Amino acid sequence: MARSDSPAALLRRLWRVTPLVRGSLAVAVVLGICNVLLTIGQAVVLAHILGSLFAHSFAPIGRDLLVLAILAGTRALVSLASEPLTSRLARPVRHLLRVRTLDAMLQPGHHSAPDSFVQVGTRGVDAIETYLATYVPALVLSVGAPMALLTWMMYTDPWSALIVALTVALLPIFMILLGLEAKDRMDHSWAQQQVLANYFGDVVRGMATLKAHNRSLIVTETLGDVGDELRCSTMKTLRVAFLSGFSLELLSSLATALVALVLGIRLIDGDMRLTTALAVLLVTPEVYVPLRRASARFHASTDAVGAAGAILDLLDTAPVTDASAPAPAAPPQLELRNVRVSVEGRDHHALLALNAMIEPGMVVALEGPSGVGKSTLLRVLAGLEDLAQGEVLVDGTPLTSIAPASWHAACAWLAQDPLLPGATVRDVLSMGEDFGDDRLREALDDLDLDLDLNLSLGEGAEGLSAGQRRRLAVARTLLRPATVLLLDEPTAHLDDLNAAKVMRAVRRRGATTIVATHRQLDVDIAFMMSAPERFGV
Amino acid sequence: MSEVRQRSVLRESLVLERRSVVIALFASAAVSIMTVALAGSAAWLIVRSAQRPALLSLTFLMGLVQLLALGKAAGRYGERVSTHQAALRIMARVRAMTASRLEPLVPAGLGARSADVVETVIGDVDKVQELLVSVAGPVSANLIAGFSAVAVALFVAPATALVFALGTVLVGIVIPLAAARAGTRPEMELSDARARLRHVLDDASRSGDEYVANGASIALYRRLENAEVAYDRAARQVAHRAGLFGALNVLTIGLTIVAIVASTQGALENHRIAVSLLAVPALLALSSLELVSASSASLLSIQSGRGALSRLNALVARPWPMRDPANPDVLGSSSDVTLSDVSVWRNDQPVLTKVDATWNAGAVVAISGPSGSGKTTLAHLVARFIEPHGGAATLGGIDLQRLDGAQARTRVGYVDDDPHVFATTLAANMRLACPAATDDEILQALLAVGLGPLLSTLPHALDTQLGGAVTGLSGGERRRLGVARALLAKRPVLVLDEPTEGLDESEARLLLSEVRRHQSDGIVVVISHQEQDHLGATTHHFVNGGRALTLG
Repeated sequence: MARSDSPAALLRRLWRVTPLVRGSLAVAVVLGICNVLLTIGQAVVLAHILGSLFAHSFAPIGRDLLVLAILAGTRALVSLASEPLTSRLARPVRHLLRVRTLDAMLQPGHHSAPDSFVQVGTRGVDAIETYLATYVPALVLSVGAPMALLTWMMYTDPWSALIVALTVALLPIFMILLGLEAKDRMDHSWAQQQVLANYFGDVVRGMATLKAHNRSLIVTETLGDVGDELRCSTMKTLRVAFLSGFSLELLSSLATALVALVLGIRLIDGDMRLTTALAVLLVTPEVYVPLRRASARFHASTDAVGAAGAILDLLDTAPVTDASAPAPAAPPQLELRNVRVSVEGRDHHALLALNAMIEPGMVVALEGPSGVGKSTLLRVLAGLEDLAQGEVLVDGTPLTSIAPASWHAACAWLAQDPLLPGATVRDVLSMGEDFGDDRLREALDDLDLDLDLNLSLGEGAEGLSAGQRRRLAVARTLLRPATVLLLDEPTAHLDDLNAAKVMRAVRRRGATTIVATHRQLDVDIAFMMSAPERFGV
Repeated sequence: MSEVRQRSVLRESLVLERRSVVIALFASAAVSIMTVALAGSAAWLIVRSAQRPALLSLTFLMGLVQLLALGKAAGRYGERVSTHQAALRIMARVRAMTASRLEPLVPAGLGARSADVVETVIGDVDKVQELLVSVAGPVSANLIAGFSAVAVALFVAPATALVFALGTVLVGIVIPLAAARAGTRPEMELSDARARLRHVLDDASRSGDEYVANGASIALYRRLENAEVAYDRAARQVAHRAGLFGALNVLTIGLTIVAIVASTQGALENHRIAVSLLAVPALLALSSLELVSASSASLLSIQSGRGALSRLNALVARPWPMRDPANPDVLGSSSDVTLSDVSVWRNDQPVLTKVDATWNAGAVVAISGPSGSGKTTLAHLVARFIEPHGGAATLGGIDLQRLDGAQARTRVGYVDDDPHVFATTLAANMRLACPAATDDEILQALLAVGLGPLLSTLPHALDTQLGGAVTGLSGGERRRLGVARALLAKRPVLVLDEPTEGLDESEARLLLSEVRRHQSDGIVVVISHQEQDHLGATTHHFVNGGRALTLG
């Protein structure tokens, strides 16, 4: 999948998502130019000083040394600025990607693999940042810096430039000759290095199962032996994979040696100055540094590229809706025409189509055996899922043509099993909005719920009883400024007295209300949802 | 737990694998030394040539340069192979040691969130590997190379060696240590901010539709924004520190070179250095200090590795939930279970109190009750994963505390509510319950738990690789597999924790009746909050708040 993206293709995709990445690229180029110029400057000045000393031990080198120190200072300044600058430029990209991830998470119908979204929003975004902050600059430098340094060499000493250019040109051929097999294995080598880690993870995660079967001690004791076996096979792969690094190293060090030999012979012949020779010698290894760094970072970025590809896949698929009608401001009339929902694991044709007309402000019940699709129908009405068949009209307007954000603001939906995120009772009730403590207390009192607003709750409001949790969730839903209430089992876990209180509070809201329920409640009409085969029995 | 000596898993592994550590360090140092020596001898060659001697007199020097070039490339290859070899060896030790420290704690000694603890351990081991491969290894190798270069300078031009040594100490030791120190707080703030971001996204992933359908998504965006601001602040600090120490390195290297050149001139004036060697100290230092300065970048991230290591080491300090007796009794033929007035404590809190039960061969036992009431603790007690703290619990007429865990579990089979499926073949997953089982017996067990339909969809039947995304099993299938394994193991007492979660009514009924049929001579204990799973039970315990009520 995304792993097949080449790093350059990834950059193009990223560019399409956000042109902000051009800032990172520009900075990478500017910093690269600064570094190349400073490298050449340092080499020239140092060579000049050493050349003067060679000619005359007492040569006045004080001013040149000062220049050298100033160059070092400038280099330090560039280095001081580069990290914060790269990080600052990655900031808007990071921010945008996180917001887009959240957008994608909150998209209806995207709740199938929620964990992967969290991964994408954390590790995936980190990966893109690493990619932009380290890999892209390295990529730019690996092309630009050797070319710039070679150009300078060509101008200063064409012979050495030729040697270096030849080895750089040889590099791909060398890599191909050595690496045809290696490349194939290289792709596996990172996975290979993970084999041991995965085996360990498997054993540790399954330790309880192993122990129940009295196998944990044996497996733990043989973990070392298995490790040895896996290490041998991993090393076999790595020995081949490392060959490409070896070829790069061999070419760069042979080129340095060859340049030094040729320079030496020409110095003996007297057709070259020592200063030039030293400057060339100092610059030669620098040509290979960016290449080596890019290849090292390429390995480090394999994961980053994969993760970055995944996040872009996700953002590419974010659906767009053109529904734009506003939701009605007053409690609307709802009409269900020949409606069928798809219930997981069942053919929707097995469910009977539902027709219903719900007048503004009416409280109606939705009844039927479990698994028949009551919850799904409520999710459809809440704008979280699509219908399998039929249509829903809101004051005569099809639900599908109402702008989702507007509809969601007009709805309040109580899930069958809400998680109640928030650190305190106040957090849970307000859902990020500022209602004022008085209204919150009133909402609790309506349901006879005696809880301190500052009471801190654990994850999923652990510590409250099931009935308290239920009423807290109902209170939260009723607080929403909604004209349509969609309540999934609001009276579950409640006794008759509390159930009646809940229904009274619901009625007081005056909204058009649909309640999915198993019990007899005080409602205006009850609709029956059922499967035909059960009907016949 | 003061008497427990906290031994470092990493230190012990390093000692055990010292041979490969020494080889790896030697190889890394050798390649670094050759890199530095290549720069130095090339400088020597050039300056010597400029004196225009006879070409023949340079043969040695030219040969040396070529030899070092070849040696450096070969050395780099050797270094990479040997360092990976060493790292893999050490990590195999660390993993084996960690697993054996974890083994006695599982499943009851890791607290309520044991799955989280296990995931943290796995993540920590990876971090220790990172610490080893990208921090400890390169830093020590570069330091060896740095000081070897200083030694060469001492030999070639003693006058320059003092400045060179000073520069090496600054770049190789002082600046990296300062960087590691200064990096601690921002790194911690960054990981806090990352946790906040994660929390927002977790909420969005689990309760996203509640926020959306109530028109409250804006709250999530606001929280994301706030977390992002905190993250930016921390990231900015981290970047500023990285920039600062990078700049300090560059400046120190530059000034050291200036000082070396100046002292070279002094040495030349006093004829304490041969003219042909005048470029050697500067070029040697330039290439050596650049290598050494790589240390501070890697030390910036040492903190997370250290935290991971100390968490792993602290595993030893956790109290064991159960200890085998020194001279265990031996079980007879009976496997009946009796509990009288049994209580179990955890963290000074009673988890089970005054539990009475008698289960004889042929019993079908039902355990129900709200979540967190102590049902699983009761199962752990019978499977000998924890000690009873009061009263008497016996298996086959022998006090459980007089039995070692493995012996008790040859009689008691336990399937937890989330049985693990190992990343191996289906057959191997089954055989861990009974290594001698034939394919036929395995098939029988799988068919009994209703995995027949699954089996027919697997590409290589019993030899299909399980685990991972490709052939992932659903929650219900995992639980069925767990039950099948337990049937294959043929234990007289079989305890199933929530075996029917994720199955519908008729599937659950079928599964449990098959289990009862297979286990008709023994004891079946089913923990479930589904009333219908308990139809036909001979004994029914209702557990609530640590008290078990026997209903008949």
